[in-house]
Amino acid sequence: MDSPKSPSRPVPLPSPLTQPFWDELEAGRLAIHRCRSCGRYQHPPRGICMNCGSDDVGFEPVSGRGTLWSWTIIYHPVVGTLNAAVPYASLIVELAEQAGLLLAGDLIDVDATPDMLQIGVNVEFTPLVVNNGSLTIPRFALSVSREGAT
Amino acid sequence: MTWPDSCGVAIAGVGFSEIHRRSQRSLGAYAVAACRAALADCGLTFADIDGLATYPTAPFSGAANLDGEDVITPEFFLSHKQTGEISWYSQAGAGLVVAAVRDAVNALLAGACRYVLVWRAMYVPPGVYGRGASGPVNGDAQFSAPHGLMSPLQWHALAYQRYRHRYGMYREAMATLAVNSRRNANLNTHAIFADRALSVEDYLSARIISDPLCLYDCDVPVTACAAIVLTTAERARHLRQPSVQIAAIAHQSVVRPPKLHYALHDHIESGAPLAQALWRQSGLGPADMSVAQLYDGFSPSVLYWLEAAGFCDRGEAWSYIQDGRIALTGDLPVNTFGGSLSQGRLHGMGHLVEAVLQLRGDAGARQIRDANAVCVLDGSPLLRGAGLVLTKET
Repeated sequence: MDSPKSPSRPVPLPSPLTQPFWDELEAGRLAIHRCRSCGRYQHPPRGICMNCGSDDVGFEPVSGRGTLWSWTIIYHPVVGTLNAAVPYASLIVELAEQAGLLLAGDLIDVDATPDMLQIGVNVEFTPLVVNNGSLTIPRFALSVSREGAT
Repeated sequence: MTWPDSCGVAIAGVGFSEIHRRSQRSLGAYAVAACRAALADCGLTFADIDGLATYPTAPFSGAANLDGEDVITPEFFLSHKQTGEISWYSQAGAGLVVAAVRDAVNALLAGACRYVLVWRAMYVPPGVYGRGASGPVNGDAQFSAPHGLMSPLQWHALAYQRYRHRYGMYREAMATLAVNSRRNANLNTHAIFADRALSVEDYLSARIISDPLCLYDCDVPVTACAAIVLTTAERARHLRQPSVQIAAIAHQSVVRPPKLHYALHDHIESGAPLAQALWRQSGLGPADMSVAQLYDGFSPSVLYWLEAAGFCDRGEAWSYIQDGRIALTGDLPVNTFGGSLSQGRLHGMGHLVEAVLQLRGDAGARQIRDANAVCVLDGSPLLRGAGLVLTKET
């Protein structure tokens, strides 16, 4: 469900290469492009593996576990439809599968304060349905306890 | 000290238009004024110009992209009746204005033209800056835009957050840069904030735009144009001003994938090969620089450039800039004209023009004594990074 503050999110325009990422999210799963030859993940996807050059690449489910790589709280959005959302937190998560495998995401706790957002803390993926049910995007829960948290 | 041979191209003249925030006048009028000033500076006229180069892109969404209104492309001057017969022009797509300079250097060395005008014209549209609508988002941005991550400002905030965490930097440390830049701008009549002071307290109480970046970590959009005239060193000797030599010029070519997330190490490590190329070409090093003009569209870029270019070690830039080291009287004066933070957003052309003025001894109250070599590092090391080393003619 949308959060109480439900702005209209900018909508992705998938290509044949990226469509499975969004299809998997719609089904509630997080999948990342991976090389079947050398095993390396890469995000965003490229037509071939940028590590070994193989074109035997495709999306594979990942654990959804990771650590908080960085975060920002945005007070001045660059898109008018997000005015209603400010301030909002956006995250970059380093997925557990591979060092340096970074993914943008929402924060599950919209009332999180900066002192909760510690770089390096564990996070876990859950799907977030937005735009009146028409779009599912990744969000992450912080694995830190907080008084009053549910 | 003797300088090694430069690449054989010189900056012969520089010029500014007036500088305003929003203006009722068209951008075309600003561009013509700046170019005319640069030509007059070296004793040439529009009729002498046979080469044109710029990086014209409007840095905000919803631009009209109408030549003369909010952008000035090479075609604007191609169709301008006062210019001479143009034999070469370039519209640089990346590298901000240094990429246009690089193209001009190559064209002059190839003999494609004799005198090249390079300019950067910037325009501030009506309304709230950069808050347009968003259609469907394709490409790499489709993975970040749904989370409201859509601008370089936000990417910088993410990398800077990590820099501060990793190296123990505290918020007050960046106030030093903002205040230093403002103090320099107060000595520069071409700065939008020539008459407005900025204190550490002002910085610390400024509104947060994208945590941890506050208002004064962001450059100030302006309507203005700055221009330079390039020619061969040989021709420049016969012109009005002491010419300034291009001792080195290089372009960032190491983007470590994925650049989407603006990873911190990408910022610094992508800039290092560029800086190494500058030192190799010029035969000079960080210790030889009298002044550094470091791009500051967002303040963290200054830290990354200082580290990438070897002025200090990794993780040390935030402490390096303290204690007056980057002031006009310091070991390494930085952004002596106020930078984009306090002169205004000219996408690196302000940095370039100031480097020339310092080497000519024309920087007035901002003049650094015995300025012999200046490096200009433009863009962020990761996003459209490019740089040059300028020296006095031997």
